[in-house]
Amino acid sequence: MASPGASMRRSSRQRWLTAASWLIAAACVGNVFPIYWMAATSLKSEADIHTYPPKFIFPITLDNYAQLFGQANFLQPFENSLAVAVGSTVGSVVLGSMAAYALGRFKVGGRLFPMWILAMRMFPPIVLALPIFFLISGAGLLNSRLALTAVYLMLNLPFVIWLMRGFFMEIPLALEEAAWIDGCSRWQAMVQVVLPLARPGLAVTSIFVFIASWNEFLLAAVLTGPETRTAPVAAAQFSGEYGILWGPMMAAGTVIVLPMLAAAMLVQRYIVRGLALGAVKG
Amino acid sequence: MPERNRVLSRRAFVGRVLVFGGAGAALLGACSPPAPAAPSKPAETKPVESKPAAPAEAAKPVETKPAAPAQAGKAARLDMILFDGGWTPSLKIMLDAYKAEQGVEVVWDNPPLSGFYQKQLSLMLAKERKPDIISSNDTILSQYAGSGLIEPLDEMLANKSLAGDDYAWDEFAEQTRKAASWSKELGQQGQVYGLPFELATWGYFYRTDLIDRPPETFDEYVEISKKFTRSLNPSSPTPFGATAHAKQLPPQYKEWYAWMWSYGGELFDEKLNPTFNSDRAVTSLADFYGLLLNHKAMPPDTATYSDTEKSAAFQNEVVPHVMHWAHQASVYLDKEKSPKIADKVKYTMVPGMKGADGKLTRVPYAQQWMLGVNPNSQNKPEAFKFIAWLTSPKGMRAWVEAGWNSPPRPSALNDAGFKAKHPSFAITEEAIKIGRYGPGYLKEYAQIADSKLLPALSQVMAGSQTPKQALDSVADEAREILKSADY
Amino acid sequence: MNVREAHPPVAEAGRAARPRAWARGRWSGERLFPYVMVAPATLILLLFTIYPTLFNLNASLRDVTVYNFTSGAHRFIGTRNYEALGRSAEFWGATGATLLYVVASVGFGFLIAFGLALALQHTPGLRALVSPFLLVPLMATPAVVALAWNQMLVSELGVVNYLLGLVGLPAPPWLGTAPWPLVTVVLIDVWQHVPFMFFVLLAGLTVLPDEPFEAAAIDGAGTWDSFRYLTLPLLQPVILVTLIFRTMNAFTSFDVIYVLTGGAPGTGTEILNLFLYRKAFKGFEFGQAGAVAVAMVLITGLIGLVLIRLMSREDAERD
Repeated sequence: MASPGASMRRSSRQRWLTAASWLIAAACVGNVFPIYWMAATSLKSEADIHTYPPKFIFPITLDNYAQLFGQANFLQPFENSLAVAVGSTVGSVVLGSMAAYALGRFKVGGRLFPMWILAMRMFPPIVLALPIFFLISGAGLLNSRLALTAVYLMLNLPFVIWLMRGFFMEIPLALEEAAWIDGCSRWQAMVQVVLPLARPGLAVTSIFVFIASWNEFLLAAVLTGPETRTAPVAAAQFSGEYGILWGPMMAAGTVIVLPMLAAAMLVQRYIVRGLALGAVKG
Repeated sequence: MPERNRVLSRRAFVGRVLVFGGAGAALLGACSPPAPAAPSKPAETKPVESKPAAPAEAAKPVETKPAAPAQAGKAARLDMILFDGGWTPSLKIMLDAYKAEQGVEVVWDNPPLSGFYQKQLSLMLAKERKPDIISSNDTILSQYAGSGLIEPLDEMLANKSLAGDDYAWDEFAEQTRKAASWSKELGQQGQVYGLPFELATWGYFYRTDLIDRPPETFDEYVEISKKFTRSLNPSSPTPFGATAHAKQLPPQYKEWYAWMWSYGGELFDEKLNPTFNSDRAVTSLADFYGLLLNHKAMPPDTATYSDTEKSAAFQNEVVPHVMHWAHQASVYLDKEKSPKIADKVKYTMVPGMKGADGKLTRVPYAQQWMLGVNPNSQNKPEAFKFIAWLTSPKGMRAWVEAGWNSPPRPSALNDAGFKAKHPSFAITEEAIKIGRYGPGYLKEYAQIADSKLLPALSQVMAGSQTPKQALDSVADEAREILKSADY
Repeated sequence: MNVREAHPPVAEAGRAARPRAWARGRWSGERLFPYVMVAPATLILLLFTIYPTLFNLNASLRDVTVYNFTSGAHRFIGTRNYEALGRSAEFWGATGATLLYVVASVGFGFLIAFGLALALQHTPGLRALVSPFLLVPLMATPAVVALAWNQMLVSELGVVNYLLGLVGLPAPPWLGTAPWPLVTVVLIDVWQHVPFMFFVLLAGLTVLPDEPFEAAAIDGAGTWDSFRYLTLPLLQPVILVTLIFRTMNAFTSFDVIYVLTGGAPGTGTEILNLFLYRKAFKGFEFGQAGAVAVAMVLITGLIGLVLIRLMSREDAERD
């Protein structure tokens, strides 16, 4: 391969192309199939769900969705998830960006401090389960959306700080200096000059943080109560002691994932562009 | 132990954490500028939760309270924690009925089962006042009782103004009452910690078109399973002869117990020596899991089968028979839910073993769920009043009428009208007499069963340990645990 | 941390070039600004990490269990919990399983993600078409999708083996005999997290400068050569970031394994997170669980340190 002739190069290219197309095709099918299967299951009757061989063509029923939004009142958990995910995303992106700006521009804490923050990301949530419960219980905030929002905010901070720090470091310092000379305070310079330039980065970061908060289960299962249950927890309620109610459970899974997918389709072009602007250098 | 002491020492535990916290914060403060304020946050919030008033109130003799409380208005709201189960739709009806009748709203916190035990235990350990009503089962009740996490109910049970005139505690079978009680002293009746609302037992379901006569003994069960395994018998109509719940969840050991007990095995002897590694117990496990390991008569991934997969295998004609909860009859006999097998299924008592005298012993596992009272609740009498109302003979009948299919009260089980609607009641009624629960007298039982026995059984199913090796090592660990508990 | 390093940009700007001014007590809004900015995030991180760490540390030095937790009858027992842990074959087994799981899942996932990113690097049209599909697993709720996987993978009843059977492929016991369950949970983790790695790597590839590649093409370098000698070295920082983030993330895995196998067969898929869960919420040995938690923080911290050192070298080069 070291000194390929023209024809050899073409054939090796050909092989690469074939391999690449297979990889792409397999990735597309493999990625989508479980979600497709979940959605398909949610539209089946109970007998069709349990039957083998599995049915690909079946009479569509909306019973599972009726049960989900009727008896199980899934709108409320959905709303809770939305509130918690939006709250923690906004909170962690705002606080994280502030810290990231200071870390990236002013080197607060030298090199070690940012590393400590990054290391926080490795803290497995299960290690936190019991102590965080006591912390929240002590603050009298059990079963509240506020507590869960705060916990997610914390869990996401390291990620936000690291991603945003990369974005800020890519923005030329000269722009802020010009603003400072024009009489802007540090804060004004950041808000008026730097943040608009970091918008793609903010968007990408927000997306990832939102996904993480939207899908978290372990802590939500113990920190939420009847009125504040989030959507993944409410979905897991269909998995009981004597079996799983597949229909409503898969309907819940579909309802949880669909708005995310729709949103992601709209912004997917910006994900690569946003990441390219800084995250990859962080 | 007096209530006050408990709270103080809990505070001491938290305090110690905070002392460490201060030191840690100082350390961190030294190297990273904006640190110091943080750990003082828990310091501010923590003591608030200890609520010094609570223990004094809780320490008051219970009888003095009822005079005031029973009147509606004192507590218009009670909180209850219990996961969603087969009881959910009918229990909701009962909660509405209680509200209409007594003016008390019972707010039900129903975490998913996968987070339920963790959340309830965390609430108890944090000494939260809410929920007022907590739930337990025959496996975990002794642990809660032995750890002071649940309120003894005897005095309230004796108080007719709370329990009602016709509660009829003695109507429950002796085993049921035993499983609801715990005593510090071995062999004593002890105090009641939970009022039973569910009793589920195992049954044997089989396809009448394939199996003429249900097996009486596990030997016959094994033979049938082999006969219907295609790799052993090419003309078998089903690919496999048996399945099991072998996912690492409590039903895994409950299913094995039915084998173990009828083989003559025991979990512990009277002196609390583990005996589940006795020859009989080991043989029972070898025979049971041998269906997979030696005969390949179970699907290859049975190691992660739960009830869901077990049901699906039976419903889809993968296996000709299944041992399962008796109330599953409502699923297997339902043409809509089990179209392939519904008109061919029959069920009966689980198989057993014949002793030397030729006597057949069948020992199905009986599982019992109970409601109890949170010792830190501010509304103990009201909470008790509700669970007594729900589990009284009258309440249980109303509940069954609302659709509940696993009542523990004999008066509900042997009602002819109910029996016609719920055919599984006949099995449950029988199982109350011959079935058995876990050793509820032992507060370490849940710990041993869930954290030691489950992985060991799974090791056996994975083929990485022999039944003897696995059970021996659990017995060693159990002995260790019991030794440190000083019995 | 180091006051002298605190304001390099300001110093470079040629104004207020006395970095020690802060130390001398000349407080001003401008100087405080970076600290004020960092403070809220730091406070929150400290609150939520210091307390749990100390909680676990304290518990790990005591013989605290569920039986004596509320009565407070537990004693200080020094390092006995740690000694017991050191002797515990289960703990070391779980540590081994964790490392195997993380390495396999990060490594395999990286290869796929990198392959995809390279394949789609020069084809913006195809990329736009394919990206939405590649995004899907990222959005799936692990706790729910794990159950969907479970239903799909059951050997006699699942759709995956049914489809494999249709095209004549063998049907493995995905959740049955070892090592399949471990393979399965790794594959699902890969499935879920390839998109993240893919998008970061793709972003990195799109910002590579064109000139070196054009020059190499003129010199007659083949695809492999330009990949080996240009793409890889130029992309190294991005690769490192991807691997570090993903590795850290893999160490926090719980939901999927808990739902799918619960650690089975035996303890074959019991990674440290599940082991800790068993100790704390099935064994109720909070002292032991505390020791596991502390050990986990140390182990992940150590690995984190190594990763971070790698990254910080890159960082230093960039400065």
